[in-house]
Amino acid sequence: MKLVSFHLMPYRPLDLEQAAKHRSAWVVLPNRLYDPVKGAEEYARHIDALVYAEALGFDAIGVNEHHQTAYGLMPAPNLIASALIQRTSRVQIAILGRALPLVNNPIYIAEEFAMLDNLSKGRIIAGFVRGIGSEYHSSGTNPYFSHERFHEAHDLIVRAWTEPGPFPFHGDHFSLQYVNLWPRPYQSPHPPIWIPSQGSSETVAWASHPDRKYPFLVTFSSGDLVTSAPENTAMRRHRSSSAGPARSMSPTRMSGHARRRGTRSRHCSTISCGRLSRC
Amino acid sequence: MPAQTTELRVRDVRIKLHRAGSGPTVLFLHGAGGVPQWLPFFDLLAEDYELLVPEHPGFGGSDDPPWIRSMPDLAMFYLDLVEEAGLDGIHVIGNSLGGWLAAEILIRDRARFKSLVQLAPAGIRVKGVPCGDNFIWGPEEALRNLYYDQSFADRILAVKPSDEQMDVMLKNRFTVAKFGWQPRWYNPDLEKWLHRIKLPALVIWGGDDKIMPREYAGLWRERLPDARLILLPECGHLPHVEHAETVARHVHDFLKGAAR
Repeated sequence: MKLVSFHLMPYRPLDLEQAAKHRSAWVVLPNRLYDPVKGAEEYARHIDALVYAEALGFDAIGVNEHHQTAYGLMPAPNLIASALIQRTSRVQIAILGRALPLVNNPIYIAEEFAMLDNLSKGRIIAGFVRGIGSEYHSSGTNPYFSHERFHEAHDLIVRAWTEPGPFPFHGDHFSLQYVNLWPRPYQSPHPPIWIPSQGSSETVAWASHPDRKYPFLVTFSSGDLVTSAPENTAMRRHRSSSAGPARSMSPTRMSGHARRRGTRSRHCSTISCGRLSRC
Repeated sequence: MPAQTTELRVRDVRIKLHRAGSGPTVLFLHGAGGVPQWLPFFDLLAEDYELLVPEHPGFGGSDDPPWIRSMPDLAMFYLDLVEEAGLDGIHVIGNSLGGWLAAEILIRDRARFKSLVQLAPAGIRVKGVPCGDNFIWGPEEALRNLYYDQSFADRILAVKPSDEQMDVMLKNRFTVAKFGWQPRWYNPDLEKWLHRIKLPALVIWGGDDKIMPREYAGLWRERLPDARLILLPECGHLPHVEHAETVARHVHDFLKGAAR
């Protein structure tokens, strides 16, 4: 067994009374509720906590990506990963993960991970996610094409990491005449790929495909998400069909989200609005 | 007048088509909600016209071909459909997403069309005036925001939908996201071509529309070369539902003039 200390970097000074007046702690929570002086201190404390996890003997430390929310202050998790690299020497650093469908050019994600892998001399674990529903509001990405974009971005990134460049990539969503990654990843053939997910059956099937066999991480908020949408019959079917295989194949589980009391239900209400992305 | 429901095949796509009445052809293009039921407004039109109400690809009982990926795709499909069905001299009525569709069709080829009625169409953007975001609203909120008169929403909410109806609603919602999510409810390349729609046009708008604010009505009247605007007080996003008789009367009067 390996242990990962995983952090969402919530904005803990959030005025919960004020926040409760809004539809959600995601997407539409007015950013005047963010105080940069308190926020800067939050970043320092959160990074200290993750660095301390190395001294405590954790095998890896984890960060993740969320946008426009008090729930997590890491819209760019690779920036935090870069800071962690400088302050640790042994632990693996897991980015759980970057949301592939949200970007217009996934090559940038391939480049950033390759840079981090070099900077850390091979301590990076690359997590790929589709992003929860709210990210499709804050990024203006069409959730209808989420799976297509995820699969295509993944293929592009893995090919960029492993195939000699330059080569052309012709996808339906991403099309590049020249793919020629500088730097190449430090690990060979590339950093381990993990797939965190709320349990969408399509993602389970994709991750477990013999071509990939990626470690699949189930977030425990999926239960809240699904039961908060009892009217969604198709979602129920997805859940019943995905629960078995997801657990049996999963070497890793994510749990114990650092969320504050009172924010959970609001978090779920926004996600339910983004159910289209079938997270 | 009971509607007849038939299946129309266009290329490899099966389309569910509701029709009623006889006379000149009126094509009604539905909005994001699809065609969950036959409306009193349809009966009123069918008194004098042959009314055709197809369910768009990706909605209700119609196929969802993977190659229809955008509103321009849907518009090109409809040009195939009217040709395949041998329709001509068409009066087209569009509501919301259906109005957007009507405009996308007519800027491409208006040869088989005679007039246009727009009921609170989507498709263009008044900068600085956001449309209502039905994608972030909860289900009840989204339904209530369609109507000025909340008794319409109350009646729908009082009935629990069947599993089959839920499946249709989910299918419609996926398709609506495909067409309307980004950018929200418009095509940046539509407005500049609206001058191509050289047909008599009638634009009808609810004064209390929470989805498409009334500021949008003025832009449509300005951009369409031959348009008249009617603003209905105490009316939300579905004028033909909330004020069926009034809208039918306006449409009848307009079509009599447009048919000359």
